[in-house]
Amino acid sequence: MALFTVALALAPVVCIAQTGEVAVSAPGREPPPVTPRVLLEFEPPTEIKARDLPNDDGTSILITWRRSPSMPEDVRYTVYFSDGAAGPYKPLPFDFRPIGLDESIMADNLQYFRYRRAYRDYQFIIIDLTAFDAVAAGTHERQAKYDWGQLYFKLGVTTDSAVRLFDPVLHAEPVTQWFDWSKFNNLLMATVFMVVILFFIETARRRKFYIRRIAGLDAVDEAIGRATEMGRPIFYLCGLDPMTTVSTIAATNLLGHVAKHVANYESQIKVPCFDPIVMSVCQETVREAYYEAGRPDAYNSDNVFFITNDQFSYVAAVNGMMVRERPAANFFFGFYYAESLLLGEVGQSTGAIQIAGTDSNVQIPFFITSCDYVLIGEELYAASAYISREPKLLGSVKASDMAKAVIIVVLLLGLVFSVALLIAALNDGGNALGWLGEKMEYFMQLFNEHI
Amino acid sequence: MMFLRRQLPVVIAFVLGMFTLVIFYIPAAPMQGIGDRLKIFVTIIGAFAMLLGINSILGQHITKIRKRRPGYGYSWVLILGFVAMMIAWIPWWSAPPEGSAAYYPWGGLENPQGAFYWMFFWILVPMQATMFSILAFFIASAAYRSFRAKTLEATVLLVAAVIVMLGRVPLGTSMTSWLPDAGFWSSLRLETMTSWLLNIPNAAGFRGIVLGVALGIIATSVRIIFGVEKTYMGGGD
Repeated sequence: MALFTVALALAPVVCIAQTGEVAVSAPGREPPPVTPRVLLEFEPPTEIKARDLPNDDGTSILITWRRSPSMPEDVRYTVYFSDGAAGPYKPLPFDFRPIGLDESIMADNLQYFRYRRAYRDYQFIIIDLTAFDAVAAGTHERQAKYDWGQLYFKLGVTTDSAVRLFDPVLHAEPVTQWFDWSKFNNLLMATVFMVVILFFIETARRRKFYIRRIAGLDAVDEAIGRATEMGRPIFYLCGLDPMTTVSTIAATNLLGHVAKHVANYESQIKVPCFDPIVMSVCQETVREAYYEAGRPDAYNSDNVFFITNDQFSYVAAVNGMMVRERPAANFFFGFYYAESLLLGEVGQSTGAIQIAGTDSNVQIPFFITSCDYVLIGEELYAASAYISREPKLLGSVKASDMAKAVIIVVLLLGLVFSVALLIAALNDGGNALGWLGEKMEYFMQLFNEHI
Repeated sequence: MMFLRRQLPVVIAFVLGMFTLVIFYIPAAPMQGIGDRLKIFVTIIGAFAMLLGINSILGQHITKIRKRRPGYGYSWVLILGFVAMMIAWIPWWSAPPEGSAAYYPWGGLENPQGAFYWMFFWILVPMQATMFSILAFFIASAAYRSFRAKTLEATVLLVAAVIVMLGRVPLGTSMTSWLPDAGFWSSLRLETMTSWLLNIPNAAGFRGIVLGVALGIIATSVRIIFGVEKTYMGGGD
């Protein structure tokens, strides 16, 4: 204790705190007269290690430790660095938020760690080494001022005023990974699902599949017929997302079928677009549909046009056209945001028959209140197959149904596991199910993370 | 010609689709770098496509003016607005004063004295806000139509909606604040019922939709990558 007091008095920045440990004052502040007792009066964390961060591009390292059960709540873990093993150790040169006792638990992170019950007692910190380069360059451009191979770290605990650093000195070389093993289950599921889809597409060539009735798609013909009888146009909107989203692709797929029907009925379709690329695709789709229907002369490229890619300006323009032209039918397919109700309500007020289809789950209720028929979620993706009755497309819809069956089984399994774990926990303060319970917990962890 | 129109797009869709799929599993910087560059291509194509969009909208309105179609005066408003905003954005006398990164006497949102700034914040933004605010009235009319208790389902919807609406405002929660905080009776407090409705039946329904959507997206992607679905190229399947 005497040695400690003398050290504090002689060295304003660095002082020997305990055997093998160093206490330093926080940067930019006057050293505290006495290192806070709160930093000294608990057992230090153990098993402090550094290693390469798994499943990354070779730019980060990972520091893990077994947490100290006696650490007070107002103390947080931090990391100091040095460009040589001997020190001196300084705070990280970029923003770093120290972590508390219950944060960054290894058992809660399945991306970098396998699930083990024991990992509930371990914590981790990820150090992004590119942040050193960004600081060195003063920008986000990479400039090797810090040599990653010479960076050493120490884990510490901190309050607002002081830091206590622990041995050992930590060092790890980041390694570039060519496969992200945390996505292995994803790859497995995706591969199996793709094989199932291709199997059903192949089977569909030989066998007829039953597909349940979708009222909204059955009403498409009715809507087009109504427009023909009334001599009014049909409005078809592909949503507000760009061509890179699958819901917009599904909407343009459906547009091909609708346009073909429109051409057959000798009616008129107008497609106001939110995105110029979507406009180009829609022009081509409608033109081909008219050609296929044997009515190339009836195609008018001016009917597929761009308005703007500003959300409310687009709505104002489309609503204005609805009010002026009084379309007999409005189709809203694709992804929508807050404008869904504005479009739906104005269309409804003009007396048009309205069919909507979106995978934007928060907008579905708005379409349900304002439209006559709504394709909910996946029905939008099945619409093209449903209307064309093309066996190959129906096969993929069947495959989705099979995947849903698997998901239902997984959900039931999750329910059973959840109840079993709950009962076991009630009977025994911990968990009486042993290694099986650990596996069930892992399953539930995955389940909670991804569903 | 047929190869360019039919086979080549399918080949491009397959190669780029599979490549994008594969690099999702590869964290190494070289592969992610290629992926990032592909995204830049999309942005570049989008920028060029904007010219097509401008051509489309201006062409429409110029035709309307030329043929004196009803309401052609509004087409003048559009064209004048388009030209005014474009000119105002141009950095006139663009030499920046000492010490400043850029100086646009007319253009740019950085200059509060500029014409572009004025038009953007005092014309465009209020008009956008006006459109958005109409939503409040449409929500009321849509709610009125939906909540008329004509059927059992509509009645359930009405009751649930009333509970959720009351449970989200202080006046509503104060109505049941006399009930105890814990125990059986606490579950009858409006905010507790609201949380239950939102977190259990509502969340279950949403998750069901989301799962279906996810599978639908994968199925559609596979159909496009493997060339089973070709409607997006125009024409039949």
